[in-house]
Formats: sequence, C-alpha cells, structure tokens
Amino acid sequence: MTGLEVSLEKRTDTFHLCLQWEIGNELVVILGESGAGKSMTLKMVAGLMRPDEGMVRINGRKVYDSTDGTLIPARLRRIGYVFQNLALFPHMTVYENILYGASSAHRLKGDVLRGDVMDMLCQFHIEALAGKYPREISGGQQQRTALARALIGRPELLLLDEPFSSLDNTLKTQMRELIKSIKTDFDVPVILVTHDLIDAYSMADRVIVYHSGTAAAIGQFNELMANPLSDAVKRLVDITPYMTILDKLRTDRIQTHSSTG
Amino acid sequence: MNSVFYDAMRLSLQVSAVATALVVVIGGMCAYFLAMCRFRGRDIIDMALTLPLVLPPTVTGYYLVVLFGRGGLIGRYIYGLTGWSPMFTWYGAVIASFTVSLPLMVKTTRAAIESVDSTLIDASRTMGHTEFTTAFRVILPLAKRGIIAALVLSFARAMGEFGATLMVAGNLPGKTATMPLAIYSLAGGGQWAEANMMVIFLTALSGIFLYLANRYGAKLI
Repeated sequence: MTGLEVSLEKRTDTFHLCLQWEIGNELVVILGESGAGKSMTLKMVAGLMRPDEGMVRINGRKVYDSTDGTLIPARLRRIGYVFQNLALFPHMTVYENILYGASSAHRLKGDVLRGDVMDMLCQFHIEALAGKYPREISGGQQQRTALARALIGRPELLLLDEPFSSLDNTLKTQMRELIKSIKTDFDVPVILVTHDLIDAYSMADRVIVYHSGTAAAIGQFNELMANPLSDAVKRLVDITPYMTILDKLRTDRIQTHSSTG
Repeated sequence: MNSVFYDAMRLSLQVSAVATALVVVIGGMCAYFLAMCRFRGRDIIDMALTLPLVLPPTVTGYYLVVLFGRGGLIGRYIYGLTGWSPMFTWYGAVIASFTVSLPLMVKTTRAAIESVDSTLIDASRTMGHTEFTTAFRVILPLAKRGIIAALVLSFARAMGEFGATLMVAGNLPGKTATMPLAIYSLAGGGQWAEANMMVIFLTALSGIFLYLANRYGAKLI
C-alpha cells in the first residue's frame, strides 16, 4: 500500500474547501473544529461527493482528476468507510451486514465467502452476535460490526468519520487500540476524522489540522503541539492544554483497566 | 348474491387489480427516479403526475378521452394499428383507474424512499454495489412499509373510481359497470336493496384498506 494523494477544491454557497496533502501507508488523523471540511474531504475521497476541481490518487491509481475528466465511481474505489452514524443496515443481521460488505468487493461465493465472514466475525469478537440485528447490540459492538464490514472487502484505504462520537471513554480507549491493531493487521492506510485531540495523541502516525477548509498544518502530534506554528494549531493547543490531554488519557486507561480487570 | 352485484364486484376487482399492478410497476419506477435523481424538469414531471389527485375526475376523464379516444392523440395510432379502441371497454376502466391511482402511489412511495437514511445508500455504494443492487437490497426493503401502504391506497382508490371511468368506459352493465357505477345506476333506478348491499360492501372494504394503510404507513402518511 502506497497511500493517498489529495488535491481538492470545492465551493458551496457558504463554504470554500481548498487543500492539498498526501499520506503514506500510515494512520493519519484529520483534526479540526466542526465545519472545517473534514467529513467533506472523506466524502470526496470516497467518491460520494464530487469536487469542483483537483485530483485524488489512491495507491497510485487516479480516481478523480478534473483536468482529464477521470471520475471513478464510489463502488469501484475499493475504500472501506465507517460513517459517523455507522450506517449499519437495520434490516440485516450482523452476519448479513458483513456478508453484504463482502459479496460485491470480494467476488467470492458460497462457502468461501461465508467462511471469510465467519473469520471476520471471530477477528472482531462478534461471532456470538451474528444473528442479532444492529438495534439489539451495544454501541461498541456496533462499532466492531461496522469496522468488520468496512474491512472484509480488503479495501486499499480505510476512512473513519468520527467513529467514536457516541461512545463512552472506556469504549473509546478500547476502540483506539482496535484501530491501531487494524492498521497493522490489515496493512491499510487509515484516515480518521475527529475533533478530539486524544484520538490524535493516542493513535496518529501523523496529524492534519484543518481550519476553515484548508489543511493548516501537517506533522506528528508531538511536534505540532510543542511548536504550534499555525494559528489553527495554536487555537487547538489553547483550547485543550497539552497536559490536560495526558491527564485525560491516564484517567481513561485507569477506567479501562478497572472495568476489564 | 345476485348477478348485478356479482358482475360489478368481479369487474371492480379485475379492473382494480390490473390498474394497481400497473401502478406499482410504473408508479414505483417514477417515484424511485423522482426521489433519487436530480434533473431539470423534475418538478414539472412531479406536478404532471400529481395533477389527477386534485383535478375533478371528469376533467381527468376528459383528458383521457382526448388521449385515448378513437381519434385521440394516442388512440388514433392504437386504432390505426389494431382496429380497436380501449374506449367503452374494461381496458378503458383500467386506464381511468390507473390514472387516478398513480399520484397516490408516486407520492407515498417517493416519501418512503426519501425517508431512507442517505448514509445507508452511500455505505452500499462504498462496498462496491451497483445502483441496482443498492435499490433492491437496501432502499426498497427499508421503504417496504411505505410501498405497501401506497399499494393499498392505490387499490382502494381504483376500487372507488367513478368520474373518469364513466367518461372513458361508460356504464355498461357486466362490461364496464364497476361497483361505484352500478350503485349510481341502482340508486337512480330505485333498486335500494341491491344498492345498499354494494354500499356496505365498498364501505367495509375501504375501511379494511384504510386500516391496512395506517398500520403499514403510519409514519409516512
């Protein structure tokens, strides 16, 4: 996996997104306040929203280029996408949700496909929930199902749009560990959109800070926090002092240990 | 049951069943495209499909005569090719019932499709599924309740159709006289016992349809 190259421009009545960045085979966290254009970027990378201008290249394969008219539809981009509301199909069981994620991308059929789905259920520790509907399982189990469904098609890129927003701190800590392990186990570049600095601190290989539709800063979390060159990063640091993050993270860990122990 | 009642009931069920089958297929497709596609003229098409809902049935019937009459815009070609015209046949009654039920199917089904969470549709697309698969595996199953409600309402509307049917198919006993038309004739002729029987039957049937529509489409209608 070689990563993602993005150069995009999109204008709406109230917003102007203009950015350029590229990532390698790494876990990148896009950080920024609400309305900065984070989710919009993911949608354009995934092919769910059409940019006005620019270029998107996934693993060297051009999926959008306004100069030569290239526009690969979302279904052919081989992207795993976990939506903010998880978008689990309410009329399908956990097993059927994951099977649906596999049935098109995998081109597998019959027992091989079913075996693959069962492997994925075991890997995410949700095999006991296979016959349950999304409404019958907890938020953390829904997260695992959504991740398994996004990954079963062996995507070339995994996009996570604020996946922890509805979880409590204990579950958030567990999910952060899970996503870090996914990066290693599946060897796939991961982009996670969030406005929570803890996510960036605890997971990111690199951080992209968004501000008013631009990528205001790119770098490692520690570097950006220690030396906040751009106004956007300074604002983030001002809002959430660095030591507060460490304290919060320590508290989360204590909670996790006490709940699992 | 006497033969007038039986003939009218058989004809009403036959006309309504065929009209509803056509409405489900054609109206369902129209509703899907209106809900899912953005194109110029969408509002005009929506308005044209909805018009029979608000027009007096005789006006709708008049338009159908202009279209399907032997010398009509479409009817002349049908007559030229086959030597046959749908006017004053049970096919004419089907055309009339289809036209007046279509808006109910389109409006209700469109609302049901538009109520499906768009992120579920996006999720299906990112998983590599075609628009066709997404429609049949995600959108339509999730809009199922609204579509069933639309089907029930359309059938009920077709069963109760009077004005447009009278204009297009006439009121020929045993041939085009559906139950509403038969009731009109029986009441006009002072045959109250037969008329009462049909009125009670249609009222009961309509009550059942409304109950089913409310049960399946409570959130949509």
